[in-house]
Amino acid sequence: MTDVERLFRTYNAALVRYLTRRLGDRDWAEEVAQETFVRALRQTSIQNERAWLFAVATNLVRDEARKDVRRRKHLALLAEQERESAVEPEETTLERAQEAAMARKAVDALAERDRLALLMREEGLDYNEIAEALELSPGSVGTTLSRARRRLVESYEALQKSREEREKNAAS
Amino acid sequence: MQHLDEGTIHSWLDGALNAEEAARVEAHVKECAQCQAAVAEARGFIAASSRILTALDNAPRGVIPAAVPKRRLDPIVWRIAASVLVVALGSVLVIRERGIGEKIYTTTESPDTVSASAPPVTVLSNQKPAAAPQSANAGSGKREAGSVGQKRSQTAAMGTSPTRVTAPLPPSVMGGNAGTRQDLNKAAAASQVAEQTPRRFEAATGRGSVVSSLDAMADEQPVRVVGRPRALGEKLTLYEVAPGDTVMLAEQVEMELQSVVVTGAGVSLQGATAAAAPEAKRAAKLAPTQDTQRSAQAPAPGPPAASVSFAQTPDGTATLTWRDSASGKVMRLSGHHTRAELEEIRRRIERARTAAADSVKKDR
Repeated sequence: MTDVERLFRTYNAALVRYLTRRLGDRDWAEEVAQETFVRALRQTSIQNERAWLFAVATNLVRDEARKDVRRRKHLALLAEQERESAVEPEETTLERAQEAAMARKAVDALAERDRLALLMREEGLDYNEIAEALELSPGSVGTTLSRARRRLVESYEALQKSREEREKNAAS
Repeated sequence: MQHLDEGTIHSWLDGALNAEEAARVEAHVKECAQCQAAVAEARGFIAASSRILTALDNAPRGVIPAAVPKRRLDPIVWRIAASVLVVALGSVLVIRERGIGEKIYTTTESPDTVSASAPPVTVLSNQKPAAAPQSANAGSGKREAGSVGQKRSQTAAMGTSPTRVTAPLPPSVMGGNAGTRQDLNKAAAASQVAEQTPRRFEAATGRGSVVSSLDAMADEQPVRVVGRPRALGEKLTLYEVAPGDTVMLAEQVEMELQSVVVTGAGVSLQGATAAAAPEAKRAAKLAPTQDTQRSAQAPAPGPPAASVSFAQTPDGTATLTWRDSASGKVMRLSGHHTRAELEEIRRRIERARTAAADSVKKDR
């Protein structure tokens, strides 16, 4: 087994999950993960593999996103408006989808650094690895994560609450 | 001792503190009711945020048109397909030497008869660059692609190469046999050159086109889909045309109200593309002949200017807009390129899409 094969087998699942959570699109996530391993192939030596892979994947996403920020913002706004104005469908079949949508919204509301740190932590990266991948000081990772978790949960709960209220209004 | 700050509590719960710090935190938490509450809250946040993030794992697959196959199916199948095309190409332009330097040009009746039906085949090796964009675009792996080869192929396809003799696109690759007459014209043009330099020409033909075309195939870099940003009302595809160089293709999507409702749940535009996809398939099925004719004609000197508009923003982003003749959809291609480059990229993308659509049809 070559080194890249080993890297792939060891980290691909976590990396794809991280990117899927980050991007909201599994195909895209897999593409970025593949590109990340291709870059790894070109490296002669990598000191901390996991931190390196997550950092490169993060940068690949960022580089692409930077290219057309304004356009994306506009489209995101449009999508948001559509979502807001859309008629709520029956909950029974779509409950999970709605949870996913709220989760997406709550995650998107986080600051980029908080979001990435949290997603990396969820994939098992330790504080030093997160610090290395995101170029933070190791001492600040705890603060970053605590802030990210609190904000994520709070905004998710706020979304949940407003959904419940909407449903209550619709029922009465 | 001071109360613990939230960051320290999370670090402790995450096992990120060294033994000494951890012992200190633990001792404090035992005695401080306020910090115990804070620790309990932090545990709650950690568990809840994990649960919330898990909900993201049901992310939809990308918004992919039915015409685009999964990339991981590509390499081998496509390489075989490309080789077949190369052989077919080799049999199209055939020059047979007879008697005293008199040359007769023949074309095989159809590119589908892949066999080299004209036995003493000599092929213009000059066509190598012309063959490259077609065959390689059909899907040779991106990894082997060298930028030098790619540039060469691009130039050839754009018709600026000095070896342009046979450069105009051979019909075999474009999937039609509509160009027989044109081929004869091209061959006639080639003969003039060949007569001027008979020695060199003969030497060059000896090697045959298959090898050189295979070389070219490995050199050429196909456009590669690197992302599909989600957007409403249009389908966006990011193509990498060279390492680090990405262009964006925006394609109109007709959405139905039903799709919007489903999307209202916030997951994806799947409904919309699912609705658009069969339409594209239908169009492809209905008009395979028109398709091939169109592709046989369109790519050579560039599309008619009237149907294409070009705009450039001050920051250097250029956009090419046209209406796709098959689907009638408005397509926009943007990137940091000149108009000529964008048109070339457009042709590469269209070829890739045509090839992909063909392969999907074959699969079914």
